[in-house]
Amino acid sequence: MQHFLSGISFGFLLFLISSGLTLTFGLMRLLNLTHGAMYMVAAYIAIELLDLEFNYWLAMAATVVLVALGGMIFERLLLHRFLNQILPQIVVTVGAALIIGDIVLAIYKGNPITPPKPPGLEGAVEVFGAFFPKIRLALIVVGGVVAIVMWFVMAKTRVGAMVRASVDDEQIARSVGIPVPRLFIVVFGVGVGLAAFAGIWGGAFSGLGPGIDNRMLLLALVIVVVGGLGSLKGAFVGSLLVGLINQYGIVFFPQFAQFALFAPVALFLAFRPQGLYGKVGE
Amino acid sequence: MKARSLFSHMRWLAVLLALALVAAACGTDTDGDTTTTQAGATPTAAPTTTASESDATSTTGDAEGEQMGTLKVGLLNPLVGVFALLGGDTNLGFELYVEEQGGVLAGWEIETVKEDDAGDPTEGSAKVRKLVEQDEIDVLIGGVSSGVAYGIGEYVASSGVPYVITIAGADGLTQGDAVDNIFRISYTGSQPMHPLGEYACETLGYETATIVSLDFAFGWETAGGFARIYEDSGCDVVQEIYVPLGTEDYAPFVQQINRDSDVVMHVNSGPSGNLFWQTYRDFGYEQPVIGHGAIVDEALLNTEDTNAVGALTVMYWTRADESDLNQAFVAAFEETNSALVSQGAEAGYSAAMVLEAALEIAGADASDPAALNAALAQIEVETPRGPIAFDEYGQAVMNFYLRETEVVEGDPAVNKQNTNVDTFPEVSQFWTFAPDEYLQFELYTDLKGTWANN
Repeated sequence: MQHFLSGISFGFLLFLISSGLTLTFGLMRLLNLTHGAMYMVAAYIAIELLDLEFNYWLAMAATVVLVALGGMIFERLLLHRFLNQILPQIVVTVGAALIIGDIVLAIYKGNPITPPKPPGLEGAVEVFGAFFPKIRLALIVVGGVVAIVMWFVMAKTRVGAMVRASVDDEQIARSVGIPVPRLFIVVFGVGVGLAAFAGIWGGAFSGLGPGIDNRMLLLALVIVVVGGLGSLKGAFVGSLLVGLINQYGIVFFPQFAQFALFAPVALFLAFRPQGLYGKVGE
Repeated sequence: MKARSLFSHMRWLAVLLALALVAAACGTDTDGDTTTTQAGATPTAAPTTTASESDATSTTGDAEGEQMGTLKVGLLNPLVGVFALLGGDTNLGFELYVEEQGGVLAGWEIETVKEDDAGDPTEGSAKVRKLVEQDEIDVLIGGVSSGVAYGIGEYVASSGVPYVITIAGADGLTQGDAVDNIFRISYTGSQPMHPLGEYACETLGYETATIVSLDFAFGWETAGGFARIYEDSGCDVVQEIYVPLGTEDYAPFVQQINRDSDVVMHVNSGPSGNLFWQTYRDFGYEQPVIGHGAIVDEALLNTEDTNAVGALTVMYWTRADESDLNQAFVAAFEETNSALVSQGAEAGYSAAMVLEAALEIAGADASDPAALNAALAQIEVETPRGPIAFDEYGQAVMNFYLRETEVVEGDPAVNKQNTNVDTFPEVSQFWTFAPDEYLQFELYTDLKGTWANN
């Protein structure tokens, strides 16, 4: 049971990261490879704000907004020029991710840092006779709420309908008057904001150090491939699946844990390249 | 058109993922490979007054009274990537000692040439050739990554240039593959762990142990060293857990720790040390933790809560060691560099002292590699960590210290530190075994996973 909870909580962390990635791609065919860097930068910014004795929740909110705004500016000024040009996008976003990673390395010298836990969520509680960290339980709750809100917005509101329309056929959506570029900036900001939040909380139990950005991005890409590009439902199911595979793989086949994590990717790419819930490719 | 473009995007994604997987499979930090290396690091403008033999007598400023000439020291350390901090500090430590001696060691004017191996064996091989063939160095010092040490080992051995390894493990270089010109002042993986195994069983009285170590050569060697002596002493390893480098989530590993074992023996390296402590306490574990000194490095301790307090670990040097030599070194380093002293800094400083001792023995012959190698083999020198001498395989025989992690007040640089509580004097890489006997043992890397099942 505690293995299940642990796997699910890691899965929800991954969901917060991958949902933004998949949405941005689904909406604008834009592969934002700075996503992992955003995760990392957010955690460092939060640490800096907390060092200035800000209230925890205030600092967290400010960080999420700051990083989301930064992401939106980045999109508007740079990425926007490369819409529908996948190779330039990769070069630009990988380049930006490397620059961000090296700046962080230069400032923090590669020393590991752990952002503090939110007040009230330190320590462990007993669940089903085993100790389980409070922050991980809270992450499950928050991840669940985010998933429900996103589903609601996407499925039941006008904005959601506009987003879905743009995902399905951007040209038609534009022709009926949907402000696709503006919509995109907002979605991009939300995606980056979620990654930022994930960085602050995820960092609190998985720590921060050089390379964490690439590792998180890699996991998010795995989920996007498994779940299907552009599909929120896919990101949700894929995240939980990867979280559980990671946990049980390590517990039962420690030798093959990495393999267990990446084998689904190879299988999906070979036999179902659109992923679980992706649009049919051809 | 749309559908096709989506499909082609997937192909790109697949290519990208494949690349990412390769990068991940390579294990170590991808940043290290991709960051542009500052090629051709500037040779320090050493105070080369090129004292030639003829005017040596007229130079009277030096305490030794006699000028031998100029000795070129190649410092090969990683200055970018994950090992940047240790590598940079090794250089700073070396330079600090040389400066304290006025730029002259045992009558030899020291000129340093620094190169950056970026923690990458390919890069290291290119740079070591440049140092030996172009700069014509007399002695090579440095090395953080074991990969680089192994990568350049063969070339260095064939060149005959004396090489003093400062941090890297690469056990083979001072065991099966030992040669006359390679020396190591750091430790082999199992060297500090043998005494810990005996101490945990006999002195601390922990009868059952869970091992949580890293899933690559260094982790298996340290775990094996502990397990062999711990079990030889009559206690029992009940569980072995190995964590891959770069694991983001320690929970699946930590959750498996048996709550009934008497003690948890942990080995980790660099940043993930804190991850272990965090997760261990998050899941409410109370068992005492012992282990390798790297899990409670002072730089790590400063950035974590009090999770690690009470840990008993073993290492060859402790920042808080009270010897005058160490206190003076720590104060000088932190004053000069406005940064916390590190294992790398001490290694660089001690390497300079080792070199000085060898130069004193070799005298005017030190520019002859064979003479300098022979001199290095004979040294006995007091350093911040204690006395250093080499065994016949070129590995340092030195003291290891058992330290307890505790909270301190009044030190502006640290809020927690390791304090020596016991000393294991003059520990050999072969422990109490005869070298021949020890080298017959099955390799620790092959014994991984067998300790808990016997």
